[in-house]
Amino acid sequence: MKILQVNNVTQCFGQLVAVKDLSFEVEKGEIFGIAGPNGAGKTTLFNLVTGFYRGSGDIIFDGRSIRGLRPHQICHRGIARTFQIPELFLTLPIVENVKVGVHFGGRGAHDERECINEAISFVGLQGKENVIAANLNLFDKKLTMLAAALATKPKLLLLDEPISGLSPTEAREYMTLIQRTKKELGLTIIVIEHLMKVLTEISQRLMILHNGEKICIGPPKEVTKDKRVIEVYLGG
Amino acid sequence: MLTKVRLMKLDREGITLLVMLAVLLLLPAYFHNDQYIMHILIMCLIYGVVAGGWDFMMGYAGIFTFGQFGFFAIGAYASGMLTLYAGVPTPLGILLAGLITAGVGIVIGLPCLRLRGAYIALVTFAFHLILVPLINSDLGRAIGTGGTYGLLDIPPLAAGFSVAAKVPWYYTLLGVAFLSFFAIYRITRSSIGLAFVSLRDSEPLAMSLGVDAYKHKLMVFGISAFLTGVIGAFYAHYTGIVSARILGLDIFLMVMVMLVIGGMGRFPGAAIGAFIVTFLSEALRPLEEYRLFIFGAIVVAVIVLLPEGLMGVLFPAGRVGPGERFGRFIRQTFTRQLGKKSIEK
Repeated sequence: MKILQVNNVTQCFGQLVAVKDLSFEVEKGEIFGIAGPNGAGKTTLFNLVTGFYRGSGDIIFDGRSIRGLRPHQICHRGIARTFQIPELFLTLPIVENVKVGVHFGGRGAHDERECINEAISFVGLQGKENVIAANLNLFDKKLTMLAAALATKPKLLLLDEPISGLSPTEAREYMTLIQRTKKELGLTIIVIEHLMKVLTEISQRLMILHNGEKICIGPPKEVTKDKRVIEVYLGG
Repeated sequence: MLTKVRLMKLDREGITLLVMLAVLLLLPAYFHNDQYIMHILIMCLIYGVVAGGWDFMMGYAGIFTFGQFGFFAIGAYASGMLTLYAGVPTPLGILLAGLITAGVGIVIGLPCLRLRGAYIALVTFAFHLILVPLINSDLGRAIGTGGTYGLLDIPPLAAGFSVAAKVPWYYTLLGVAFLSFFAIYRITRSSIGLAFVSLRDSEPLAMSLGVDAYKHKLMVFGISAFLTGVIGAFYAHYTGIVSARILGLDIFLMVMVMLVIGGMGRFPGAAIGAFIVTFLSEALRPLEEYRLFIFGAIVVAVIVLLPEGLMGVLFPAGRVGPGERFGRFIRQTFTRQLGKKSIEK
């Protein structure tokens, strides 16, 4: 069953075509990886799906078009995201960062306190609830961002380069968390990542973008052997 | 019992507000015979609310606006014109003036929805600058602003509220100021306040977590304009005269100094700043034009030495280090475009 259908989506910035007539589908419950060189249009695609950019074409989520909706409306439909450069409410403690997700995106959570605690515990930040976000290290910032996103009770989670800048141990921990999110919460996850090793390990399917266009999509084993992918992204 | 429970929920900023109220309630006991001091105290309360409304926008919601005195003038003129020309009872005129100003605030807020940082400052400052020629023009006179003469003989609040009756005015305005600050206090501690702070700290994240940026930004403009419009209306009825002079840059700058000295986004710093700056301004009056020079030096010194203002000194254990917080505020205010770029990245 398809949870997301991107149909002929294009996004231009002046003369630059960041995403060009892109179409693909994501199955419910899968981890879908997206990779590509810098400027391939990966984050632009996330911004299109989450309503930050309008673009042209259509995006169907859970059977309904989300084209033209604003970011908060898309969040209410069940799509959450994280950002490549951690975006946090730096003057607020972790607990209030997560509270924003529960209160405004949680779609009528009955017990906000319980939802906040659940999200914080799930990512392993219990005991740090009252630490101000500005004082967190990069890993904890990324975990807080994830906890806030999960607190909105999404059906689809978009992770933008979640392990960039992390140490190998932290990256491993985060990857385990992504897999737990899929397994325990039953979410569909789309991950943008540069490290192919990571993507091939956690994704069921992969899509490679280049200059805003899809050059290959399929299971990781097939994608990594694709000639064009090797040529433009993986290298000889 | 209910009061007891509510009081227990007050944090240190709320308690500071109550302490201020207690002290201010006692002041007329000592100064009721001194018309000059009572007038300054009344002006402190008026400017305090203007500064509080401004801080609500800039300090809490992170919307860098220069339109606050425009709202003040609209409130003053609206209530003056309603009571003078339409015979509206003064209390109703004040309320209507607040609502009219809130409407104007929302209209001014609309183009600001798509703007960030310094661009909002430019739009709102343009609104401020447009008002002076508008009020003084033939069009202004046709509307009933009184042109360059302004509005004269604006009726007092009620019988017994002449401009010389300082004590009733003082207690009335103290009540209005307290209610305004208490409203700001409650809003900033509510889920609406959380939305404001989240939009200030990271608009992209807030929106992605379900915060309706347009609705909350318009709400900030509406609430801030309402509070400022109401106090502007009270000002009109207190002085009995309103002219475009209330849009002068000297008062504008003075209120800004109140914010800096009190501490931006540090409730109730704006109120504390209002008292200090208003009294300081009076004390420095003999220095004439050098007064602004001294104010400028004070602002520079406060920004460098006390970036969180006096509230940062009173409660140094801020959520973030004061220097860091101030630096972040400036960065976020002037480089909101970066937020957009981080999305693009």
